[in-house]
Amino acid sequence: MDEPDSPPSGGLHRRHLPLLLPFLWQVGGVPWANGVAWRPWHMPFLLLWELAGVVVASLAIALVYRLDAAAAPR
Amino acid sequence: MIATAVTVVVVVATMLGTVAYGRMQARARTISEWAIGGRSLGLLVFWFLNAGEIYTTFAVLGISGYAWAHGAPATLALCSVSLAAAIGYWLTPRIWRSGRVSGLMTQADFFAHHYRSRWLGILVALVGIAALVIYVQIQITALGLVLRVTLGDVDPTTAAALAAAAMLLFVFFAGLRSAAFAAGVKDVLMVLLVGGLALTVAREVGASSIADLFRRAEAMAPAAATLPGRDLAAGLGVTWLMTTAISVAVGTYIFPHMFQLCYAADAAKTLRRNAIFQPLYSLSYLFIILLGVAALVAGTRPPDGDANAVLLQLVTDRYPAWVTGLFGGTAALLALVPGSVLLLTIGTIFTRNVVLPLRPALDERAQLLASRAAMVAFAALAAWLSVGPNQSLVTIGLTAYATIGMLAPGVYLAFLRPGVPAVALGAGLAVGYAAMLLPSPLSAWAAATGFDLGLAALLLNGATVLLLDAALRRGRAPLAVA
Repeated sequence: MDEPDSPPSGGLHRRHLPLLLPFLWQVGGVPWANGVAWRPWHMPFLLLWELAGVVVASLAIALVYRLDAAAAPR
Repeated sequence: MIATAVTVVVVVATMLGTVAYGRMQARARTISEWAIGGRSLGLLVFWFLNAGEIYTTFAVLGISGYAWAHGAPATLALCSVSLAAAIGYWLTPRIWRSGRVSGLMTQADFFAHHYRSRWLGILVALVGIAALVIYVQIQITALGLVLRVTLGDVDPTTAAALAAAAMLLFVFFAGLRSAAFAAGVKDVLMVLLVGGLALTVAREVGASSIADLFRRAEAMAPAAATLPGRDLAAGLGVTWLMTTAISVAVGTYIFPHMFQLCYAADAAKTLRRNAIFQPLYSLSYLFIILLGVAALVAGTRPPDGDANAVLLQLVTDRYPAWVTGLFGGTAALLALVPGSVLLLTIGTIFTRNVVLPLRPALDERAQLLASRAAMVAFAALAAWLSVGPNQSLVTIGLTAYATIGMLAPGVYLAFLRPGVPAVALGAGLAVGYAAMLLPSPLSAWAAATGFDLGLAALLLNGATVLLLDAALRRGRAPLAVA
């Protein structure tokens, strides 16, 4: 049996799906973001997009952490 | 003179602090205490070590160089850590658990144990040691670059020998825990320093604000703001960014030292929380990109046009000597601290996966001794390689990266698909290496499209493993398919 603290021994679960979000944003979004001509503070849009992507990644991982915690047997 | 003095003070003070911290922690008595901190690292220490291994000279100097020479392709840096963390959230607790349950310490331990194959363990150990020695060599060469640009003439052989000695000192006695201390010092210094430089650099190069800096850069080099950047021939387009980002993310925790680091955590929870917070550290790459852009605006000319030296040259040109010294010292730590963890990993792998299979009777003390001796020998080897004929650092680095990345199917499938035979992994490795190293239609296609060749070879490797696994399963259970 799993210790309460350890991950389930199985492979991927549906609750891991948000881990794909950083890939959709930071990789999937590149062709679009690279073409945006808008320059907030004169900065290239792609740079700001990827910066935002870092924060999105942190939030997505934090979400899965909460889902995992909720799914763990008490 | 002032620059040299400050550089030496930064490096020596960190070294003394590390050794003192190591003594406080009491000398490591078992190989587990030494190599993986007795599986007891908490979130903060782990976070610093993880960040410390990502924040190397070539992250900092390489990225600023990319921003300067190419522009937009430097945004790769902002994807690498966060994507690796998204995978790491899932992967690292599983690696950790395997170590806890089965007493594993190295990546080769993992392969040998999980696939019940001694030859696979030894093969993985040798591949790992080779790649890590190259990585140490890169760090030593980078340190030589730092000293040359910030301090002027330094004898390369002396610099390489001192670098190797300093790396050893960081981990020789107390092992991983003392490296964590040094990584913390180095990470905090580096973030403060690049932050300070980024906030002042616009004025130093004659722009009125950071926005003005970007405006000037785009006026000077309009192509830099979007992919593929200023140098069309470099092939750093959209496909390149997308595939390389995935490749780096998949490979990060496959590196033997990152893999081994997972075993050092005190709990699975530590690794999961680390995955949440690790990406935020990479926001500081914005400062580094900004400094590369500033170097472009300032018209900085690095020695021999070497992009890796542009940040060092910018600081040397535009800032007072004490700042140059501080930056030089911190940049030296950027090479030394990750290098020390690499050496520690080499020592552990060599003892546990090369010596121990041959002489299983070795006791704890003898193992520790063997690890330390191996570490010294491989440090000497790396130092010797670094003063040898000069090859392009980036080329060597990418080769090492792709070499190690080939082990990925064996790690991921261990948790996704039970019962894959070792021979299927071996065949996958062979196919992957052939695809990567031999000229073929695949490598020509990759070069033409910008598709990361390492990722393409890895996909072929993975497909080979799965096909062979499926075929062998059919062979084993003929009744089920008849």
